[in-house]
Amino acid sequence: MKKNPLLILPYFIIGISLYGCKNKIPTEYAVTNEIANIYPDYSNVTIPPNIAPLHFMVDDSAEAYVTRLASDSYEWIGNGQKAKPGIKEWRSLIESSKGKAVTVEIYTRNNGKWKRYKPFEIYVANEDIDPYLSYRLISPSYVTYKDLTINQRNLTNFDESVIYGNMANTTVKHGQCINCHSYQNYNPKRMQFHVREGYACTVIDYDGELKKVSAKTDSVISAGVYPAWHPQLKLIAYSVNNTGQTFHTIDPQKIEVQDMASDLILFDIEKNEVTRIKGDANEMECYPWWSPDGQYLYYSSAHYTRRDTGRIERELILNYKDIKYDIYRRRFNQETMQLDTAEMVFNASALGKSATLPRISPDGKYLLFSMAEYGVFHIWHTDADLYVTELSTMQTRPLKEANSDNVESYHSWSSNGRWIVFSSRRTDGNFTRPFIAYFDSKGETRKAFELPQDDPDLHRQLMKSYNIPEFMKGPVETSPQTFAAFIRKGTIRPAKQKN
Amino acid sequence: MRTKKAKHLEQKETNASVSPTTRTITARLKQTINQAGNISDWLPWIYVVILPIIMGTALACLENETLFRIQELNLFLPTRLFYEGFAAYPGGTLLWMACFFTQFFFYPALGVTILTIMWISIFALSKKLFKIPVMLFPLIGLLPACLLASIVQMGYFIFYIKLQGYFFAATIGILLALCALLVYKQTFQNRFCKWTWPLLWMAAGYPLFGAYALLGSLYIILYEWKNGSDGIFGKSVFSAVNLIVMTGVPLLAYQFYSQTSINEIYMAALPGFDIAGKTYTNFRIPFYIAFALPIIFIILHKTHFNCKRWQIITVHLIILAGTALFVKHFWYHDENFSKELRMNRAIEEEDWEKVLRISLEGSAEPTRQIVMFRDLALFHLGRSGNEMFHYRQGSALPNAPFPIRLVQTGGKTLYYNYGQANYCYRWCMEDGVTFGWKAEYLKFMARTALINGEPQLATKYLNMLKQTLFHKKWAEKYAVYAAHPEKIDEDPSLKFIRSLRPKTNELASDQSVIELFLLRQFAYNDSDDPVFQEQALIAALQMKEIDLFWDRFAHYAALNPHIEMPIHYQEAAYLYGHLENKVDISRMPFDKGVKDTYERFMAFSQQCAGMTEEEMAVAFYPQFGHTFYYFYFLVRGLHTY
Repeated sequence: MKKNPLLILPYFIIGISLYGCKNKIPTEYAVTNEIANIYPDYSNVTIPPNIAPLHFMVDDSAEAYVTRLASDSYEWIGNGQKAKPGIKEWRSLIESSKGKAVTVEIYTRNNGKWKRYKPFEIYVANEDIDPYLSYRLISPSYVTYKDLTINQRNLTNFDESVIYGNMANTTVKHGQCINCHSYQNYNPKRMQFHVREGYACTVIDYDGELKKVSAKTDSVISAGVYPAWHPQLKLIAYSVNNTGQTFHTIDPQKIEVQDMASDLILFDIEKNEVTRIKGDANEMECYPWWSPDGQYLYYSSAHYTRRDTGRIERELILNYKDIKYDIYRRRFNQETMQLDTAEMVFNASALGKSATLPRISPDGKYLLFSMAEYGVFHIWHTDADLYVTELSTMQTRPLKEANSDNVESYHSWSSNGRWIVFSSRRTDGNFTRPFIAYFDSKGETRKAFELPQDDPDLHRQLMKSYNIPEFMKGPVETSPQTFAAFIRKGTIRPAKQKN
Repeated sequence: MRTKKAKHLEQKETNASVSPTTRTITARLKQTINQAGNISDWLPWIYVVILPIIMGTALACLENETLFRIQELNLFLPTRLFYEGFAAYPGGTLLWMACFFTQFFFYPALGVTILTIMWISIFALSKKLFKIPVMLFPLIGLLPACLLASIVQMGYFIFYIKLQGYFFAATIGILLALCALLVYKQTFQNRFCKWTWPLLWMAAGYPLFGAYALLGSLYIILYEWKNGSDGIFGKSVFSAVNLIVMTGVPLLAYQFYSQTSINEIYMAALPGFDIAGKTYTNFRIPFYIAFALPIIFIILHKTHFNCKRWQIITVHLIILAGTALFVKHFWYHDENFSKELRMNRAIEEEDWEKVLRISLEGSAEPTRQIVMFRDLALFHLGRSGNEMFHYRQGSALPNAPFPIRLVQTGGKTLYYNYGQANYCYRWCMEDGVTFGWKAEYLKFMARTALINGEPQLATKYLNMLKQTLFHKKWAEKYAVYAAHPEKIDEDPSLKFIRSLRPKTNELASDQSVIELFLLRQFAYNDSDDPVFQEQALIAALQMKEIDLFWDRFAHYAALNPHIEMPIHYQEAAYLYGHLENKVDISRMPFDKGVKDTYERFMAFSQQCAGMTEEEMAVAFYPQFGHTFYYFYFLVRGLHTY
């Protein structure tokens, strides 16, 4: 049967329409040497090949926008103020760019005339990043809290879910604060977090077995606070802290969080037993962290000698700028479960500085820490920057490529040691956002990139901060409801005191 | 339906021989009564329209200022993120819708019009759903009356209510629950619809509307019992299935909501009325009644009463009077609360004279907030030194059954206007976390960020406000300063406030007691900035700290050599000079009036020597109530909060 030639007409019309809809690069345009003003700033950053698409928006106002992302063998063209390549397209682009770069061209049209900004690159490293990141989402309030969650984010896409949310057990009489989520060796099946106020306890999830414990005994200052899992043993080192808060009258940092006293303890999960780590009474130890081989316990400590006989809290508040933390370590004997005497690793106070949050790279070669002029809680210190010490040479340098003129503090290594994630307030000075930087085999870092979001403007709208970004090798599978029921109904096990 | 009286007239007309005039009159009377005889047709519609309009008008007229503040304490952003924040909780969509409508109280009449339309809809739906005997028809008016009561009962709770969109939530929720019942009523003859609609309603309604979905289902079950054609067994099965669904859907949904307590899944989207760990259950009464009324309507459905007209009218009047009394009982009225709201708005509009005018209204003892707002206005007008003791002092506690903190009611305004940008910002953040984000907080946060030199942070909040319907213009004004921080001092208000910023940083804590904190912050600091310095002097004066006063007084005199020394500063110097003799005041050029008043005060003191301090305060007030002498000796025991 002879086909009616008119039947081809609909296909022709559809084809023409689709062709008309296809994003096209302008053919005539003026060239400018400026880089487009984009948010988040992904210009010349280095990214892992398995990261979610780097969606961004052009902040310069224009009538029309065209963005082209191109590798050697693939290109993506989008129009609109927000450049949002899909995950499949992004993968095609990135897979072909490992060890190379994706070029980004941005065109804008004003008064009918197109302009092309100076192109920039997005460098693609060869090494993957851990697939999950967990953090606490909390409004950056100072004393009050409500509606805070520990979340996990799949870094290869935009999926985010709640590990546990405090409102699940908040009542009229008791609020609930949750904090300090931590994992043993990036293992999401071995985690802990603290619950304060209502149903106060520490929740430990060890290979599916939930425990509700309290490391507070008569002879320690508080329940466990900042945790560090031993990489091999069922053992967690904690600092125990008596913490206070006061408020700056004009300093934009607004709040000062200080320890009035602090010590270190070891908590044996199996025996439910607390061991005090003996130290100098004039030392305030904090932020323990194990070396990857479990041989050393690193921590920060401030030496402070009383100057008068009044209340210690008042004295420390008045002299808050004199409290400076150095980094120490102690050798750990796994046989005796004893720690040796303290050994200075980084003498920050000699430089008039305060160094906190020591983190050893998974290969054991580098010590990463945060340093500012004074104090223990650098997440509120605008001068806080990241520094790295090469442990073989003990040479220390700032991570200039990752730092900004605002806060850089809580930081973690990826399990392969090639990526670091850290909190920064560089976006607006008030809300912490996770930034990720490449750390190469020579110990050099690259420009950090902000955690990508499906809506690139999300972080400018979000009224919450990201606390304690920690990498994980997979998602926590215990459901929030399971945690909630366990916290509500589970029996707390008060710890025994060993020494 | 014709009444007995109409029938009687008809009969009479047939049987009797009457004149044409009489016949005409009788015909007209018959027509009128016939029409009046259809009372069940027309009277309800009068209620449906008129009662909500009366309620709305009363609300708009009597609570204009409260409604405006309510929208300032609300926020609606047309963004996905904003919606997702609500949708993370069951019933979130309902509250999101309620926040959307609440913003229209920016123009109170507009917001009330929308609310009134919803109430008319509730009336109309109730009329359509329930065949209530005409005698009891005004009972339907009790439903919107409860909703009105739930709004006007709030008073200081407008600052503390945690449920976002509270002021529209119940109205929308009940409207939706009745809509669910209407759909059921229209379709329940169809067996398939009868069984599927309640299931569909719960499955879709609970995540969207929370407890109001349960309410709708409850009404459906009861309606089925009253009107269903099935037998007892059929009705029992229907009820059992739907009760299981009502119980099960929230439990199932709980598995998808990580931020909801299992204890609260059946109360999603309902207000809690809790403050500082205590629940104020009296505020729930209008809700209980509102939720119960449709149940009563279902019970009364198709019930007939054979009543005479006078009985109907009497019952109507009783119900209407009862409704009015019910609303009046719940209607919060407090002179100080009203003044605080109006003064706060005048401060925002920088109409300082208006602030003073409002402070003079009424007869109630002022709260500290009123006193502090008034002192702030005097300071802005440069009249503190001559007038600050001309106004009534007082420390009346806010009229509320729960503890009130100044920081939640007017504290942010005070902190901002006294240059305490960090503390204003801090409390906006704290309260934003506790009570939800509000346009008012974002405005303060944007301005304090500008004052603090944080333009990027200011931009964040201004961009949010730019997305609102009614605060865009406000945000655009300040966005200019965020883009060009160097222009901030071109704004006289911002410049004035920047002058009041602390001059040196220190670590402190206000312990939530704003007045004392402000007094200390100014009294214990000093500056060459004349604006700051005068406030430091005023604080020293108010604290009655003599040594501090002399330091600030001397500095003030040095900074303002060409200004005539204000009367109250002279009074303080003259008094302290005589009290302590530490400072030689013999060469100070005091006004004659200052000295004369002092002499009269002391002479009068001799006369009143036998009086108690309270008696003296009363006796001295007419002559000396406007002087520092009176403030120093006889104003004591003011309670701040």
